[in-house]
Amino acid sequence: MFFGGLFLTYTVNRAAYPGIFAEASHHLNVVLGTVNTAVLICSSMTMAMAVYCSHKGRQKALSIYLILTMILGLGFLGIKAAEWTEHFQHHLVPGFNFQFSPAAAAGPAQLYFSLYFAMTGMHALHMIIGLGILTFLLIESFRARYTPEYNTPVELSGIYWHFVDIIWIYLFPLLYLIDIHK
Amino acid sequence: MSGHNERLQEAAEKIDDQMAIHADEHSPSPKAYLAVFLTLLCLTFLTYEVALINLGKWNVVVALAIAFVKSTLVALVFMHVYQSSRRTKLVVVAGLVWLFFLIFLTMSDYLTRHWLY
Repeated sequence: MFFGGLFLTYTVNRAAYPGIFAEASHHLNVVLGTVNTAVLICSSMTMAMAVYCSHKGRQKALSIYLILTMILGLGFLGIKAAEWTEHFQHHLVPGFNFQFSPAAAAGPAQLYFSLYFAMTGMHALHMIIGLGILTFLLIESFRARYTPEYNTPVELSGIYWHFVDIIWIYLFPLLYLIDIHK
Repeated sequence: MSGHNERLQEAAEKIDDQMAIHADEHSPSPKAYLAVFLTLLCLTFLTYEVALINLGKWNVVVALAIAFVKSTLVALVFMHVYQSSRRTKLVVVAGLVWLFFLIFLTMSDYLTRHWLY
């Protein structure tokens, strides 16, 4: 519901300025976006396996899958940071010497990039929180705390991680893809 | 009295065993995870390729349809909704219904305003 509000704001403004939103979305790096989507899906896979191993009581495999999930999560954030850096260099950050051509479209284009940064930033924040949770799980798994009888924290963290994945599954087409053919 | 307690304990253990077996049966196998994982990767590639083709209005529809399939797979298999209780499924659907209200009602306002002026 929280992300729902952001998706709604995006929908309303895209309906109002379809042309400029399309133009603005061409400034994103679609290849990096696609690679990042794949990285996040891989991390969901390793997380699902971590939950599976915690159910089966495979302590060592659980730790390994948690570490893999964290590496992939960090990889996602790294690629995202590279993209953001690119936007800064191209003066696409609203409020920081924003430049857009045609200049007449700069207003709605700033709107697009405000939403872009709010949505991807909020998503990244959820990833960072997720990495914190995974760190906790990893420490606990080293202590062999999770058994087939007690693994609810792993299960719940898995659900959280997959939820963050689902948000990205929608952000990716909406922000990057739907207008690249134009 | 002690015999009664023993019987109770036995019964409790039996239930525990059954629940353990039950939980085991309902946990998806790594094979299922792998199948979903590969499907998700294929769909990601597909949605990228389709986006390059000009389908007019349908680009949005196709992209969101693929995203919907992907998110459904993640929820059903990775998040274990498929083998969850009916109540859990109801909660999931209720969340989507509220999201639908949020977007549908707001857009029916914004998209029809120019009808009046």
